Amino acid sequence: MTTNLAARIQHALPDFGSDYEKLPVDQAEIGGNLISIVTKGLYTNPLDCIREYVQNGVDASASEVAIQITGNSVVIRDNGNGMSRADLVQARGLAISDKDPAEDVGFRGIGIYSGYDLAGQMIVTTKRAGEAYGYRMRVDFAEMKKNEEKPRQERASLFDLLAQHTYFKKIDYPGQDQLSFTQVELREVNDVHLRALSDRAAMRKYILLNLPVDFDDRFAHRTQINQELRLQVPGFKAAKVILRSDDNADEIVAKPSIANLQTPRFDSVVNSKGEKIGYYWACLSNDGAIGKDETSSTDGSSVRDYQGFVFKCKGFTVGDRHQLRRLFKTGNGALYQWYTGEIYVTDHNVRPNAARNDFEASAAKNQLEFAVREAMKKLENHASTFQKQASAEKTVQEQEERLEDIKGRIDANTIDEFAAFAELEDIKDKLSKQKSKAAPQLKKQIDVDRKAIESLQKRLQAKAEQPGKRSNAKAASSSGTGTATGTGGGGTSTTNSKPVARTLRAILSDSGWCSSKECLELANAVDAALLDHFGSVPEYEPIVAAICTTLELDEAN
Amino acid sequence: MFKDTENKTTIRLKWSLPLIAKYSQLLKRPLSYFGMPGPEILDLRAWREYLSRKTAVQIVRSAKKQREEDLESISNILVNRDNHALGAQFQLLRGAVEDVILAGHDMDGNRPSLTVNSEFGSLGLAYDLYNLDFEGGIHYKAGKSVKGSSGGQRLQALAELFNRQRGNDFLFFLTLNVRDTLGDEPLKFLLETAERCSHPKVTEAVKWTTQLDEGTKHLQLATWLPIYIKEQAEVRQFECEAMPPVFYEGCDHARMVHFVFLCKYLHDRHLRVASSQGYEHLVLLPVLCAAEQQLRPLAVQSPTVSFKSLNRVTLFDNVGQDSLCNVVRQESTHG
Repeated sequence: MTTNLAARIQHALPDFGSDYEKLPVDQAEIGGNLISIVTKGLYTNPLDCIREYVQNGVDASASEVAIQITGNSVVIRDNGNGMSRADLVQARGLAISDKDPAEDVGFRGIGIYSGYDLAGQMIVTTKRAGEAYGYRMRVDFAEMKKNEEKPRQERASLFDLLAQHTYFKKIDYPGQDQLSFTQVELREVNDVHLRALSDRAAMRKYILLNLPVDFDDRFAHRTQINQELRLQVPGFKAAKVILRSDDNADEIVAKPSIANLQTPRFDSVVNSKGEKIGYYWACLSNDGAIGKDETSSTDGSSVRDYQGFVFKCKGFTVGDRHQLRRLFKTGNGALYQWYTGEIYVTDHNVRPNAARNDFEASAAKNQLEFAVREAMKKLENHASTFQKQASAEKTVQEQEERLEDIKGRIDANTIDEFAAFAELEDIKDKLSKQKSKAAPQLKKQIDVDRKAIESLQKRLQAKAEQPGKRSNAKAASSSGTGTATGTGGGGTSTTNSKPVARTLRAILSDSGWCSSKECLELANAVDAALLDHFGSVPEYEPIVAAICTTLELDEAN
Repeated sequence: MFKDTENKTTIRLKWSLPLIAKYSQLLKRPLSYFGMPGPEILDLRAWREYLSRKTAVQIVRSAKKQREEDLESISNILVNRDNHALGAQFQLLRGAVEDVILAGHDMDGNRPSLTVNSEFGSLGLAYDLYNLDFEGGIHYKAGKSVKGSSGGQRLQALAELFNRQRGNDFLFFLTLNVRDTLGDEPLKFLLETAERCSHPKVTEAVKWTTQLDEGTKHLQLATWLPIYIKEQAEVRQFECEAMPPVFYEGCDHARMVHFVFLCKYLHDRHLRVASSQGYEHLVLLPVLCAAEQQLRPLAVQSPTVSFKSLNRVTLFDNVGQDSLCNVVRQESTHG
């Protein structure tokens, strides 16, 4: 039993002199409660301990990590490199880690104790390839925690606690020399935490957002993004995370396959000296905000969770996707939601804080902040251009549909020339306004449409200026039939016994012989050319009749 | 702690495996498993080709040293299942298997994954294959290491197993240490059975059993246990067909007998059924022995034994060169 430290010091050490002097540290000066104090502060969510053990697996180059809640145990198993005997003993130590911050995410040497508050025991079993034996360490958390309940003067130091409550053994794995793994079993997890960890939907969501999981195999850009990241991000790995249960088949947790995304953009994030400090990929949605039409899913997952960007350190998330929205300036960052992407931080001087909700304050972090601002600005401009082009395309399409409608009504003589002329002018005006925003191909299309409109307007003008001609609409209203009729129009008459000559377009359309847009446009062009030449529809009627005879169409139908 | 032996391996590979393969073939699918595979999960590794969902039960005793051993076994099960790629749909329950069967859940309150709503009111089970190893024998004195035990829990659990499985056929492997605390009750049971049956073969077999010398308890067990199981099954509308029992020497020279029963539920029945394998057929079955990596008929057999009776047994078929079936068939040509 540890005696009162102060009393020991009083007895064992001479009094201090008037000058400073050094004193060796007594093991008893590091209290046994240290682990509890540190881990309770760092790991407030039971799922955080899952993250830590998975992190250790990824750092050990695991390609698969399986997580299972079974009975009152949580088991995390990875197929990474495993640990040697020395590694395992060192793993017991606090804040001692051989991990290189440049290569690994975990380097603080604390994560192995992340399950301390949750469980009664931790059993780590590990084996390296090429060795016939594996090793096991058992740490009795429950026994260690009893120390906290003792009167202060009776509490053991951290050294004594660890020495008394950690056990090691060797395990033979005959015929399995090439096997390598590490398995962490948190045994006798208390009910409260077990319930939290048994929530599969919450576990799935947490894993997707915070662990280096791969994309769903069906994601169109998976291969390209992974390949790029492997080339550009040192140590990049995407591991399969498997959720295992007693009852159901294994579930591989993957980032969802988001549909209708443009080809990814990649770029480096560089500081003011032009040095690369990060690398990002970004996909813009063709449909606007990602997941905007999504109905809620039963398992709690949503592609909306993937709107925007998130920082990654070796695949682990730092912070969340909301933090960078402020860097999109227009429309309260509305275009931010049109993107999904990740920013991999490659500058090892930028370190996540222990809670992984931000980076530690440093000059390197400031450089990153500035550089990311620039990158986000570029992306926002790109999205804005796309948005404008998409809007222009939509407007042009609408106006083209109006144009087709007008043409049809002109051919059917159901619209007054003056009204048609005015509408065509409006369409032309709207199309012109889109030209500055349109993509190059659409600009050309707008020009073609404008020419078509102008040609049509010319025809209408010529028609209206014919001597003795009454407008179709006026003629219809005066006859009381309500339909467009006339001596030179293109519609059918309900009063004349002889059918009024019709345009080629109207005949082809009504007969059903030609219904495609291109075909009708061709017919329009032929009508326009004939009208230009002959001056009125009845004048070119014989030609139209000849065409109809060839096509075996009823000219009057 | 239960340890594997060469004889157990012989039974696992040369007896159980062909039977499981045959049953799986009959059902046209892999079998769901409920049993006590132990830390090395040897049974599961050997039978993996024919297994689907697995529920493994591991006892956790309350005495400190034994508890540590049992928890260590649990850790080994969890490691080995993944080392041998058996982790998918693998459930581990903690507790004595008889308690799990009786209570319907383990010591943590977890139910076997194939627990179903039975039409008979209680929660049922729907496994295809049971493999129960009662190292301490079928009946034992209640002790400190078995909390709350009355000694007869295993017998009760066997009966309850049939209750819970009602509605679902299954293949049942049962391994028992010949040691028990039933005294002369098994003999009384046999005598009463013979009297009730009034079949000359049964009478002869029972008489022979009662006259056995010391050190032949395995033969006694091999005679009465199949009758007991048959009766527990039939009263719950299961047709029950026993295979020849197999005697072997286990860990620390423990004398063990391994039984196999094929249990088929008759859905249209409500009262006790009569299996096609009657009492008189049971006493014809030879007792086999696993030794020196071989399966052979025991030298000492009841005078009623007939190797030809094996022709009636459903799962008994030639499944391989080393199969016991060939050995027994050779014997059968002589008797």
